[in-house]
Amino acid sequence: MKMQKVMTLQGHQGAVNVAEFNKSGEYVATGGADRSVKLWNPQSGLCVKTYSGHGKEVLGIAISPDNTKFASVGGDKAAVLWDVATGRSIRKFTGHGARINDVGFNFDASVIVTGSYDATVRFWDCRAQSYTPIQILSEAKDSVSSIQVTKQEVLSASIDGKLRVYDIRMGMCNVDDVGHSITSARFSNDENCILASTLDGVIRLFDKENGELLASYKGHKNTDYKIISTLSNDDAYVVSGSEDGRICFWDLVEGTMVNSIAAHGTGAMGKLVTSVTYHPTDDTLITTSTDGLCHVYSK
Amino acid sequence: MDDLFDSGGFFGTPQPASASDVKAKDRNSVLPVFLQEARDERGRKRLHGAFTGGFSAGYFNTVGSKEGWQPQTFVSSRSQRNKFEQNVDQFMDEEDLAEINNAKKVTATQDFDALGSTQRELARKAAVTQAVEKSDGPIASRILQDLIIPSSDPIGVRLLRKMGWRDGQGVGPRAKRKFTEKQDDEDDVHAENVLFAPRDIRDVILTGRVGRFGVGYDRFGDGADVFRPNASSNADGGGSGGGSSLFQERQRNAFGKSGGFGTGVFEEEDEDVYGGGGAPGNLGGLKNSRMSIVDDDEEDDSEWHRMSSSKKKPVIQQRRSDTNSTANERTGFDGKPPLSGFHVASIQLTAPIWFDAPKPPADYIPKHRLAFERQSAVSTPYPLQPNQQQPNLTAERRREILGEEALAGPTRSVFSYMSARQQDALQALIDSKIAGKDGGKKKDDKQPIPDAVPVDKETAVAALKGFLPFTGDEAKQARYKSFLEGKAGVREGDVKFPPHFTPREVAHELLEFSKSAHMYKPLSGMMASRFTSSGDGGATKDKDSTEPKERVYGRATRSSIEFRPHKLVCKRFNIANPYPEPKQTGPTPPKALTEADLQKEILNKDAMSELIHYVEGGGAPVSGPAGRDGAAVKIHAVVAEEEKAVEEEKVEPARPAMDIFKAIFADSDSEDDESSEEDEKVVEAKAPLKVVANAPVPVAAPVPTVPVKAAVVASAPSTTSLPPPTFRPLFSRKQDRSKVVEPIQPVSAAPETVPESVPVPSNPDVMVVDSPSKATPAEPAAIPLPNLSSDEDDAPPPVVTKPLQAASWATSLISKKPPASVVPIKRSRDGDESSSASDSSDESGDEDRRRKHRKSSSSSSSKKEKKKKEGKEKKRKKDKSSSSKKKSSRHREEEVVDEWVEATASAVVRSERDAKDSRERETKRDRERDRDGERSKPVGHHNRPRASDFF
Repeated sequence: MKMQKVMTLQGHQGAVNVAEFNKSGEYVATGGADRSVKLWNPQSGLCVKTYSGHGKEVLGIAISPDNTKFASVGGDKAAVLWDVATGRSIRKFTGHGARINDVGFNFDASVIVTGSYDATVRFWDCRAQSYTPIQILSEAKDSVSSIQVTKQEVLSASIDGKLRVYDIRMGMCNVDDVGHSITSARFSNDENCILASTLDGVIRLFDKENGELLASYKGHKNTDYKIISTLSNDDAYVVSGSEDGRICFWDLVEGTMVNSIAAHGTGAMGKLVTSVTYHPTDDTLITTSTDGLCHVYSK
Repeated sequence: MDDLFDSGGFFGTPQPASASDVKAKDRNSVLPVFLQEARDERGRKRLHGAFTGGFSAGYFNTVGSKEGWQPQTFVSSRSQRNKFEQNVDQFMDEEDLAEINNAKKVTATQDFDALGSTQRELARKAAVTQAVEKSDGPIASRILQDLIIPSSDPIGVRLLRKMGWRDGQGVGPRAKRKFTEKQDDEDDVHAENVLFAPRDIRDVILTGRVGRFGVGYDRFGDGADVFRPNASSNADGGGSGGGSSLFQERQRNAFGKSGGFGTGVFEEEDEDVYGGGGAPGNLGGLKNSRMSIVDDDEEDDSEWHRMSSSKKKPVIQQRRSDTNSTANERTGFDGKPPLSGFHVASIQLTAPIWFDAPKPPADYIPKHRLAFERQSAVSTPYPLQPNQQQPNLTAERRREILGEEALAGPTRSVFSYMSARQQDALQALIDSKIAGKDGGKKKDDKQPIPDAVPVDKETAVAALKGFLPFTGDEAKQARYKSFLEGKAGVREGDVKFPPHFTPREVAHELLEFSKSAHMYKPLSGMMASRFTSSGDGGATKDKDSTEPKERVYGRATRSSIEFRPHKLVCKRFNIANPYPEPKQTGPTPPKALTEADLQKEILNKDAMSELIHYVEGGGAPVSGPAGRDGAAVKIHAVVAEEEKAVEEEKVEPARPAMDIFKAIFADSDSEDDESSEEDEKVVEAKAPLKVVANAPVPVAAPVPTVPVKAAVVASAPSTTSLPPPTFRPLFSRKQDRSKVVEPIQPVSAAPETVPESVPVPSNPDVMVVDSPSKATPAEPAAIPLPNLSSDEDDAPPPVVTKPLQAASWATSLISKKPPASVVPIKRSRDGDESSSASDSSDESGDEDRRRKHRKSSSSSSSKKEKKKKEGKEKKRKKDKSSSSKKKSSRHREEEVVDEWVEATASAVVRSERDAKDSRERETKRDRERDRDGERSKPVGHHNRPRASDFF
């Protein structure tokens, strides 16, 4: 798993919190503490567009499947639906009582699902005229840190240490007690496993079916901050940032760290790598960090 | 001369031998008037020349020099610059300069002359009040006094007034006032609980003493008071013994504002310039210049006394004036009379004698005990020690005594992490230590701590963790800490006080410590359990979650809960609802029919179609051949749809009944209708072709409630003229109302009054016909109808209001004003339209009403109408002849289009085209149908009563 830094996306003022590839992988949207979302071309390193309108830092981005819209959430307690081309915000959903940590679209971008520090998950209807959430899930006992929406499921991870998979088709919610504050949870690409980063410095891979622990990945540093970890697009590797500025690669099956790159410094000088996002098809990943830079790594 | 003077008396002014002996400036004083010359103070002649009345402009009045103002050449070179400057004062002689110097004196303006003007004000007030007291009309005078407010109050007074101060009051917080016997007793009774403003007492202005006289020295000795002001006005400054400014003030007061004698023109005449004149022999104005601080109510009787006594210094006098009179005879403790200006106090203050607190007997127990208690006291588990403080029991102590369990709050103590046995052992150890220490202490210092609150171990432990007071004194803080540690049993040994501490100081400090320990102990028990410190995050948060090492993920950590997604979420996720509504699960199982079910049964599909069939087949006039079948189909479809919608929305069983009522009574623009209509319009707009294919009938917007209406109509017992009995008591029939209205036949037909006063159909008929082209062609045809029908005997109530409406509308059009007198009539549009197919007269009336309603309610539609008026009159006529449905539908469609504009631009174009298409199609359709309706207009056909007839 050798990767080279091919590009640096520089332009955010302050920390970059999240990055998200569009569905085809041509562009990447990053949200930062400068209250803006920037759309980049990771090949050329150019900032295509800047979407400003958030009142506080941007913490989560979700891009619609048709790439025409994206939603961003942040510290201003609002979920904003943007039109990519015009750069205007289409709708703004407010109602959360605290900052929103993550956001997800359903398969046709008609529903926005947000997870907030107010310990609720809310469903917002983009089609209806109403601006009230169509459903509120308040099972979480603490901040909902991560949200992922698939065709029929909503994965919510909470600081209370529970993974909740809301299966709409079954009408059931499976709760997995991880026991540590979960900061990031993502389905594997085959949607059979859940990768969960916890604040005890361990990344765990769970079987979605029965909640069993498949593997755990250690070696990075993650005790205080939310670090969005990910799986490679072929589900072969687990990639995560670290609080000391490294990005770490683990073999999914073996659980051994196969590589670690000092992407944003090392040791005491290292800056927190807030997220690692893998390209949907290529072996490319984007790291975001509190030093305001996003690095593009490629094989 | 000398002997002449010595020899005795002489008369007159001694004259000099000749006037020239006298100095020029004094010469006038010795010359007779006719010889006197005008001279200045230096004796220079002011008047010169042949005409001594002329003013000397020559030498003597020149600019101070012999040359005077001499012209001179102006010379200025580069090396020697001329610095010649001219000032104004160069052209002035000394008289002018003196004047200028006088003008240059900085004096406070009246506004800011706080002391002076306030003083003046007070003096004026005092004078007025005195005058008022003397005269017998106090109220009137006071009112007058209040009314006449001086135009310029000093700024301080104005500020004070804004802050709530009122004239006559003193400055300061309001307080209770003690009343002396002198005052009116009835006031006392009511004034018990009243707070009074402080008395208005003048400030004492203390000026520095510049003389070398001792305190109490009276410069003027036993001289008359008369000389005092004069003496002070000598302005010799030194030796005035203080208060020279006061004297000046006094003088100013006495002589008025202008500093001269008498009352000026611009001065208030009521000012008591001469000090009230009550005291003969006194120089005027002195009365107001009292310097002593005395109460106002004492001024009368103390006046003379003060006058006779020294007024040198501001003196705080005794309150009672009668004591003052005797005060002078007293001598001080040294046997000497008091200094002038001082009085011997009438009340001798004796030093308070302090007694030590009585010592309680040794066996005294500070609690009363009943006899039986005394007996049983021996057996109590906690016998009270003589020195033990009984009342101060903490909750913990009480719990201990009662043998209760501790509350399960999170204990913050390190001891809580020890095992129970260890704790017990430790407790025992501590107890023994404390007991030993306490015993030792008692032996050491016999002095018992006066009110020492006993500090138990828990309190001490808690207080140790809390805030440590005495931050200013580190040594004391250290002692406090060691005290707490000793109490908590953490540390052995006594608190070490510095050796210079007296036992009392030690006791005091111990008391302080114990109190602080109780005060600064952190939250405990219940309160503490509500908060969690930020430090221990995950450790205590999840008590159920075990250590990660031990954790086996899987079945143990997995739990499943029910999750009921909202049906809209399911819809958006394109997933069938996992918890479907019970009605949608399939064919409804047969069950006993409840009343609600029966009610709902009225509206089920079969019943509805049956009813519709009945309505159609039962001779209900149908508008046209084209509409009939299509309408039926459409109605069926819509009924089915509505049925579904009703089921989906889980309407309460009572809803159908409400629908019926709504269909009959509700306003045609009620929200439900519109929303449902809009929904349907959306569908139509999206697929206009489909609509055309399905429904050749006019837009089906109002249809949803049509079946309801039909049901009601059909469910009426028969086609009798009587309305359903339910509705009868609520409304007076139109016939009745028309009868009431009919007698009023106005002669004049003012546009405003006509609508109300035209119950006779023939009138509006004429009017409408006469009305200019604005009246639609459909209306004249519509109007005669009620006239005809009202003639019928058994017929349904004649529609009297309709011509009325039409007429009013027509007049409103004529007058280009909305008819003010028309009361909006509530009526179901659906009801109208159900009958509109059969009755065009009704329709026209409805149209009027609706148009009016639109006019008043929606400005947009009225704007549209205006546009139409301006631009396309032809088209407008056409429109008016067509049914109103078209308009409403167009309006609705435009709304839909508006919505689409928001959505996408491309969609807008398409939808607009669609909307236009459908509109045109509808227009065509409406026109056809109207024609048909007119053709087939049955005059006497509407035998069946309609709900609309009752309005």
